[in-house]
Amino acid sequence: MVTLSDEDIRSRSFDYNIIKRFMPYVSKYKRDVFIGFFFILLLTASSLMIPIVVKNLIDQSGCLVGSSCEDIQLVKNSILNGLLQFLGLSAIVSISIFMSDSIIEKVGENILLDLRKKMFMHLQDVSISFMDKTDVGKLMSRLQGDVAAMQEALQMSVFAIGDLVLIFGIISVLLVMNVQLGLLTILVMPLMILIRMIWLPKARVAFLDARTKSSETTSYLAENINGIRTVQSFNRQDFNSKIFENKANGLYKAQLRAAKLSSLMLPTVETLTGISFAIIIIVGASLVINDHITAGVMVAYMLLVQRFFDPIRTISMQYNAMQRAMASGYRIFEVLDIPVTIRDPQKPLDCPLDGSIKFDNVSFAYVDKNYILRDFDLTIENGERIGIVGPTGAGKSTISNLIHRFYDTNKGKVILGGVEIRKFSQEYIGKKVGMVLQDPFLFSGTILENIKYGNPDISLKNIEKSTELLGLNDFISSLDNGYDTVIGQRGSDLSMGQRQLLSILRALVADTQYLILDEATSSIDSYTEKKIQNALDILLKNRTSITIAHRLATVRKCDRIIVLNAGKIEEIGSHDELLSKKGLYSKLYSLNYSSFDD
Amino acid sequence: MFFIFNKSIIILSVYKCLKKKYKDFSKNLMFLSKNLIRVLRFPLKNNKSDLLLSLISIIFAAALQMSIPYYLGSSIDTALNNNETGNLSLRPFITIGILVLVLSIARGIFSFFHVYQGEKMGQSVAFNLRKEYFNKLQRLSFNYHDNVHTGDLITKGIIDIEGCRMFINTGILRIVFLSVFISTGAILVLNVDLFLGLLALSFVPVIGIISSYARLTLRKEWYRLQEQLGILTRVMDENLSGVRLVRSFMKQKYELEKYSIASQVVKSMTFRQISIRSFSISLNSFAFLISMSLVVYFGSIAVLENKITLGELTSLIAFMSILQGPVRQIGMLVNSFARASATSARLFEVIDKEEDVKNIEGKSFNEPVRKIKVENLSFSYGTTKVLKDINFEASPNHSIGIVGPPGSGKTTLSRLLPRFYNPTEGSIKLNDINISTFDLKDLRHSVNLVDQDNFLFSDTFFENVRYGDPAAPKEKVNWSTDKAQIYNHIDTLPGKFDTLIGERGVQLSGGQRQRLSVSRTLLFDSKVVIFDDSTSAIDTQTEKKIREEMMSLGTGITLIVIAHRISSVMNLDEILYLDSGEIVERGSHNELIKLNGRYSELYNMQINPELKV
Repeated sequence: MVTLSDEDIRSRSFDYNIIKRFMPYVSKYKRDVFIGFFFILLLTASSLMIPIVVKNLIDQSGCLVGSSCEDIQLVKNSILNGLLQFLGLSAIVSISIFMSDSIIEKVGENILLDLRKKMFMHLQDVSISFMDKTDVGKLMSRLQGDVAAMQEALQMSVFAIGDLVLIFGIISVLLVMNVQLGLLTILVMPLMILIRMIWLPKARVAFLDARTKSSETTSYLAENINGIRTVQSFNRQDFNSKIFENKANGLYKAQLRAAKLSSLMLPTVETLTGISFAIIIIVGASLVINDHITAGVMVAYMLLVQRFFDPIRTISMQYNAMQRAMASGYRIFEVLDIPVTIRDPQKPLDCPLDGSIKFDNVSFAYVDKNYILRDFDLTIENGERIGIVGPTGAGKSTISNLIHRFYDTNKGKVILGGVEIRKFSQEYIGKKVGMVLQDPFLFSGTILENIKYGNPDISLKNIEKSTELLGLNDFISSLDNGYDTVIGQRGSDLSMGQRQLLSILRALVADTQYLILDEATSSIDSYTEKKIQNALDILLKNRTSITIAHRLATVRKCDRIIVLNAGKIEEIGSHDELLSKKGLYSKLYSLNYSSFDD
Repeated sequence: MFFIFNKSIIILSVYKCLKKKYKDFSKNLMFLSKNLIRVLRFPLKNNKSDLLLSLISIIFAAALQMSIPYYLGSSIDTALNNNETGNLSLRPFITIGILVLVLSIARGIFSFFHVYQGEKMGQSVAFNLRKEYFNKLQRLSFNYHDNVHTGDLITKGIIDIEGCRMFINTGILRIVFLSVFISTGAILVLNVDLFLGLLALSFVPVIGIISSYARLTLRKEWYRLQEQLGILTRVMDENLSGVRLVRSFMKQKYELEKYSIASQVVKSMTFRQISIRSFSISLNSFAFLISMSLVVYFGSIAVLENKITLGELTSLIAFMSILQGPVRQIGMLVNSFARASATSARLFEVIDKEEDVKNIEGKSFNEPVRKIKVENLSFSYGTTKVLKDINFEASPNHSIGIVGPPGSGKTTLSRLLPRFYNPTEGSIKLNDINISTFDLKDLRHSVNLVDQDNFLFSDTFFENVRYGDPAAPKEKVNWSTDKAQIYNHIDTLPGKFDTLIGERGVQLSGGQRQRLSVSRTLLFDSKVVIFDDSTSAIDTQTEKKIREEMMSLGTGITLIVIAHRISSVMNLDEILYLDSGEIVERGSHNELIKLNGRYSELYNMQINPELKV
């Protein structure tokens, strides 16, 4: 079975496979990326032009160019000309900054949303068994944290490419202005590369450690928020706080180690800048003295060298982001790679159904060859009320899962209303088969929104009718705002029994031809359950229904009761028939066990 | 006359208007919000030496960096001078070159401390906030947790703390750095030439105004965005947690639409934010470049007119060129301030929350429980009355069973006994003393609730069983799992007690989970044990066995059992039938059967289901 891997063990900063898979998401915004790049290049070029304009102005003001100095007015004009050039460049720079920043960031945001939407959509289709096994918190961290890390790295790499262009631009300008001085100035480059090579392995370990500690701390926080009631019941607050403090402290130390390594880049870069300056001052001055270059060139060199190291300074930050993004990318594609096992047919049928259900020689296993059902046959007629009882693991819920096509059978067919279930779209099945689940999940929102979940178009009048039949009138009217009461997180302010009642109401309001009640009344007292049973007598008329329970009383009224054991029908018949059979059912019944448990 | 009067009114109103504008504006210029000041208090308190070191490094780093343009300029002047005089000696340049190199290295070292110490303070703030936040969440009572979404709390613990951390390092310290930087630079440039110096600095107030407007807009945007992100998180979280429900109604399309709407709102907000941010950054750069171009222009003219030397102009330009990077960062700084204002407000909202159930450092309680008495107890959630005038008494030889329909107040009652909520009226007494006077820890140790929602942690069986007493030896774990009838099951697992539970480990059935949580409670040695429908999936025989084992411990356990199954409560000394928050029937099983009321009806229904309601 597919599972998600644990925390990131990967520390590569470049993974071709991930980048390759990421590209289609980027290429969707080809045009914007192109425009963004254009403005980055424009920004780089115009930034490079500024020192050159400055150089010309300086040379003119120092009367160093030819004899134009004799005519002050002429010089002043050309200086004014320089000002206009400078102003023009300023405008270009500012516009380029705005355009490149906003376009690139927006593309990043778009890609983030696309990626997240793709994951979210994919998770709507992956198998239920995967979802059952997988911690929601883990999926959430992939939907949020990992996607954000990818976005950050994407933006950073676009700007990093800009930086790279800038570095090459600066090198070319330096070389064009004077080859000798230019070569000497960029002498520090190999040194920089060497230092980075020594720095990298250490930084990789430190960054990875910090990230691992961070996710450990986060998951501890999350678990303790989820289990807060148990925490307080067992007085674990102080103890947990100590554990958390240890974790947070470990994270703090790991972050500091990483910070130390990335800050070490600073004195390195500054020293290299200092060396370049010294070279410009000493060699440049000798060239100026010997009239090989003008003072303006020397000034331009100084300005360019300062910009030269700016990109290198941010490299440690970029490295960390890239490393994180590769790990995140791996986790994102892991989610997208979970196979979707159940797909709609090309041309789904939507014919009316005759209300029958048939299991034709069905075998099914969740894992490998561990069969829950084996050669299972069962026919349910239109309008029949079927009860299924049996111990845990007998396969009761499996039957309901298969009718809803949460899974496909390994062998045999499930036939709904005379048609093989795989010929319908899943949406159609959802419209035909209603379900009340053991876990009465409610969404945040009002009571009414929750009731209408399966049938948004139903009128309030019809809802009121069902509410009355189920005897829920008093409950609803006892709430502050009746149907419009906003319930707390997943209905946490309602009792389990109340939530189960609401979820039965929700299924009835959905008004489906088939209804499956899977342990739907387990937290409801027998008295209330009895009332519900009576209501169901009316509401289930003309519907085919399956009631799964471990309490015998819950299924007593069914037309036929199936006693399921280890995936086999042990007994089948009405309550009275089963009693007279003197089998397992009657034994349990007479022993007053009243339920199949545990 | 009238004309003058009229005019003065106009002037007055204009003046008033201006004054108001000024007031608003000066209020807007207030740099730090209340919450940000609170964030800043952490380093002031905990990292005094780091703060000092970092401030000193900032001053030196900035000053050293500013001194470099001066030497660059002087090297140009010397070079030009020597060019004219024909002096070919390189000695002065070697001196300046080495000086610049030394200055650069020194600056690098100070920058290291400045950045590292800043990061350290930021991380330390994050550490402290994390700690406070976690501690608070652990202590906030059920009332609070009932009403907030866990996803929101987790997001705050990750993203909002990150916002505050960034504020220290890339926010406030950068501002200090920039201020020192610009003021040292100001001295330098004003020394060169007053007019040119003022020109060189003219961008500062413009950027100040742009930034403070941007900060205000962004702060609002961040707050709204953060809220909206919370909604998006909720949509995703609920969809994934309720996956079975979504699938059973096949509502994936609807869910996607819900997601898309929430996501679209986030997108448009983020886009607006990006535009504001990029616009202010580019405006900042524009202001800066204009003032630089004016410096270059008027500077060149001044050199031409021999008012300043070329070297001096070079210093000015080099100074401005150094500033080019930081000016672009101001936009980021502003954003970091705005974000931190929003995130710190959200964090402190939780940290400052009053706990409903307060631990009065009260009496310790360690004695055996002789009795627990509930007197005239009433409880309301908001305006809804859940419990009305409940009275009963339980003791080691008088156990209580509670039955009743959904919403009758059973669970609320069970949660009031360990004081997870405070009663609205009436009292609960342990050995005749009101439980609100006890130390909460002692109380909850004495009164333990086995909850309906039996949360197990993703840890081993061993650690889950001894959750309440993390120092308990193996024997005790064996003992309590044995009593709870789960030992044999754990023993058959390949990893035995070291097997992990949950996602990465084994999946447990409902009954197994319940028996495990019973064993957890047994190990905790509580004197009053409340079962809230927490044995429903355990079969009757096993349940009976567990109960008998508990009672035979001889430690004087008081039992309070809430159940739907009559067999779970019929052997207890007194049974309360709860309906709509009131006790409508009470007595022993036999008495209640004789009474022939609701309880006996319930009993008959379970024993003999043919009966009609």
